[in-house]
Amino acid sequence: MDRRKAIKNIALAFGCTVATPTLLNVVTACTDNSVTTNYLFLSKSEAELVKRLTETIMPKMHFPLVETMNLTVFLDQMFYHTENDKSKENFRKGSKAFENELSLNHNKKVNKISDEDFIASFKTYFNPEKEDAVFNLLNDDINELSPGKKTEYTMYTFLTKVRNYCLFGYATSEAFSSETNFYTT
Amino acid sequence: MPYSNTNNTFDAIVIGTGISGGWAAKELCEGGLKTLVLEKGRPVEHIVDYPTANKETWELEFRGTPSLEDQKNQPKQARAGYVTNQGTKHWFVNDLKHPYNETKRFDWIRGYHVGGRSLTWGRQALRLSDLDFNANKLDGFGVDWPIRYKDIESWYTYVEKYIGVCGEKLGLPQLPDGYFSPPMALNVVEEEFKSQIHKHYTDRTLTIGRFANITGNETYEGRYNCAYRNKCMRGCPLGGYFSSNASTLPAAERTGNMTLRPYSNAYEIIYDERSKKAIGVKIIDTQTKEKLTFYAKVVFCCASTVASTSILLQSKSKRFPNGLGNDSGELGHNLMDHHFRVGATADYDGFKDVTFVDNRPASFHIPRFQNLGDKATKKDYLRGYFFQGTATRGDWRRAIMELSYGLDLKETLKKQGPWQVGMTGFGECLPYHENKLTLDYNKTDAWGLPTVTFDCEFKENEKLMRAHMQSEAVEMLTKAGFKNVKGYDGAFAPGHAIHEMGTARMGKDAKTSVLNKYNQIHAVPNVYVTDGSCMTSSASQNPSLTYMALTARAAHHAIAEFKSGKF
Repeated sequence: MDRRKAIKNIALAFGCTVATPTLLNVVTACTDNSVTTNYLFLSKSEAELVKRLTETIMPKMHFPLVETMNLTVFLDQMFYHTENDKSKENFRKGSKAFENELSLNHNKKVNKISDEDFIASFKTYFNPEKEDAVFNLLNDDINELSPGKKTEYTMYTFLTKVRNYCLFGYATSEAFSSETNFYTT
Repeated sequence: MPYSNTNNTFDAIVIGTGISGGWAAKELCEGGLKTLVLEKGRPVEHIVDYPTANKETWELEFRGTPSLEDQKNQPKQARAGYVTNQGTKHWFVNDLKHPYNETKRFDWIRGYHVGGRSLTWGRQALRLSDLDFNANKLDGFGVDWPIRYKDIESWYTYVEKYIGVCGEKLGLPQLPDGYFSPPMALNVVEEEFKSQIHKHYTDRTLTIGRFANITGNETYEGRYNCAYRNKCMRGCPLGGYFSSNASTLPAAERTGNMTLRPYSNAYEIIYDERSKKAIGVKIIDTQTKEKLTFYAKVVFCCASTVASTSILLQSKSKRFPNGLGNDSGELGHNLMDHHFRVGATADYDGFKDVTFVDNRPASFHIPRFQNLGDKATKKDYLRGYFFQGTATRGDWRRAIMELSYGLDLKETLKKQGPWQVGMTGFGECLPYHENKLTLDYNKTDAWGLPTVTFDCEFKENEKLMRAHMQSEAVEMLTKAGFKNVKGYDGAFAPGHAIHEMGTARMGKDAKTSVLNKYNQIHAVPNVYVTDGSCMTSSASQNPSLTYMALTARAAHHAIAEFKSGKF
C-alpha cells in the first residue's frame, strides 16, 4: 500500500502538492501496485464516461513535462464540494442522456465502444459549427423546448460542464500558470 | 494597550475600527485623549492575520470557488459576486449569524473584525467638489450640506498625505486634484482610448484612477510601496494600500493612549438628562454575552452607516424616545448607495504583440461630464456619474463559450486573447426620505438585539441616468474605433456598491437633520458620527476619502472642545 502516493495523486487533481484536510478526506483504496479512486460524486460509469471526455478535451502531453493532473478527480471534487443539488441532478441526467445516445448509436454499452468510435462520435457533439446553436439552446427555458430539444439541452448541459471544468482545472493549475505566466485572479 | 476589566472610564470612546473608526482612534489618541476603541468582531493583526494574502489560485480550496457550506452561510454576501471566494470569504459575515430583513432587496455586504471594510475597500480616493456640496440646495432634493469644499479641502490634503494616494492631476472643478504620488500607468489600449476620446470629445477625458496605493518615493511608517500584486482584498502584508490595520490603528497604538477591545457589540449610547450629554456606551461581549458599560466624555460613532444608525435608534431615553438625536425624525431615512454595473464592453483589434500583465490594482477613470451647471451639459436627470473600466487581454475564460478541444485548445489557451475593454458608470443616488432602515424588535439576533429592516429602492432619476450611462459608453467606444461594442445594464439593487450612506445626515437645521457641520449630534454635542451615515448627499465619487477627511476634522474639533472643558 502506498497511501502517500494515493494522496499525492488526488492533490495533483488540484494542481497542488500539499494535501489539504479536505483532500485527505478523499477515500482511496490502495493496492500494492495501483490506486483506485473512490469518487465522492461520480458513479463508476459516470466517472468512466467523464474520464474519456476529459482525456479527449484536454489530452495529456508527455513532453516537455509529464502532465499528471487528473481532471476527472478534479471535476468530482468540485461537484461534490461546490455544486448544488440541482446542478448535480442536471449533470447526472445529462450524463445518462449522453450515455444512452452513444450506446444507441453504436449499439453497445459505452464502455465497449472503441476509442476510435468514441472520438468519431465526440467530434459530432463538439463541432465548432454548432457553437452558436448550442449556446443559444442553453440560454432557452428547458420547459418550453420540444422533447427532442430537451434531450439535447440536457446532454449539452453535461458536456459543456465537463468541458468547463477541464478549462478551469487546466488553466488555473500551477503548471499552466508557471509555464504561461498567466495567473488567474 | 490591552483591555483591562478594572478600567471602565476613558476620555473618549470610538465605536468601530473601519476606515472612519481608525481615523478617529488615531487623531484622538495623538491628541492626548485616553481612548477606548470598540470593535464588534474578532481581532485582526496586520500581516499575521492575512491567511490568503500570498496564495495563488491553485493553493486555495476548490481554486477559490465557495464551497456548499460557504454558499449556505453567505447567501446575501454572495450577491456582491466577488467577496465570498476562498481568498476573501473570511472578511465577510455569516448571514445566518448576522441576519437582516428586506422589505425591498438591499445587499448589505459587510465584515465584523478589527479593520472592518478598510481591509477590503475599493481604494478609490476621490474628493467631492462644490458641485456636490451645492447639489441639494440647487435642485431641492434632501437638505443643504452644512459645509462647502473650502471647509474640508485642507482635511482632504491632510488625509491624502497620510494614507498615500496615487493619481494624475487634471484641474477639473468637478473632481478636485489632491496630494498625489505618481499615477499608475494606463496600458496601450487605454492610452488609445484616451487619445480617441480627446479626438472626438471636448467635454471629457480619461485618466488612471486615484487609488490609495503607495507609489513614488515618500515614506509611510510601517508600510511599503504597492508591489502590483493585485490581491488587495486579501490584506496586504506590505501595507501597499491604506487600511486601518496597516496605518491608523498602529499609529493610535504607538501613542500608548489606545485601548482596543474586540468582541464588543455596542448597542446603546447612554444619554444623561441632567448634563444633556452622552456619558458612555453599553456593549455586549459577543463571546461571553456579558453586558458592560464604559464611560467617556466624548463618543465617536463610526460603526458604519447601518450599524451606527442602529445604535442611535436603540439609544432611547425620555428625552429621545425615538433614538438619540432623532428630534428631526430623519434618523434611519435618506438611505443612499451608488448605482453601477451599467455601461459597455468591446473588443480592440490591434496591439496583438503587446502582452497584458494582470497586476495593476487600479482602473481607468472618465470624470463626470454631465450636469456641470452649464446649459451644454444639462441632462434630463439630476446629478451625474463617472466611468471606470479596464482594458485587458482575454484569458482562458474566453474559451468557455466554445466547443473547441484537444491539443489545439491547450495551445490556444497558452496565448493571450484579443484586447477587450469593459467600463461601468458609477452614479449618484438622490436622498429620498422614504428610502430607510428601521429596527425590528420582534426579530432579534443572537445577542437579543433588534435586527435591521431595509426599505429602499432606486427611482426614476437613477433609471434615466442608467440609460444615459449605457448609451454614452456605447457611443464612446464606437467612436473610438472599438469593435463588437455591446451595451449592458446588469441586475442591480441598493447596497450592491457597498456604499450605503445618509441615514444620520448632516445639515444646518436640527429640525431636518441629525448632525451639525462638525458631525456632532445637534442636541448632544459630545457625540460625533463620522461614517457614511453622516452624508447629506451621495455625490457619485467613491466616498471613503470624504469619511476620513470628515472624521479627522471632527476629531480635531472634539479634542479642542474636550481640552477647553466643554465636555
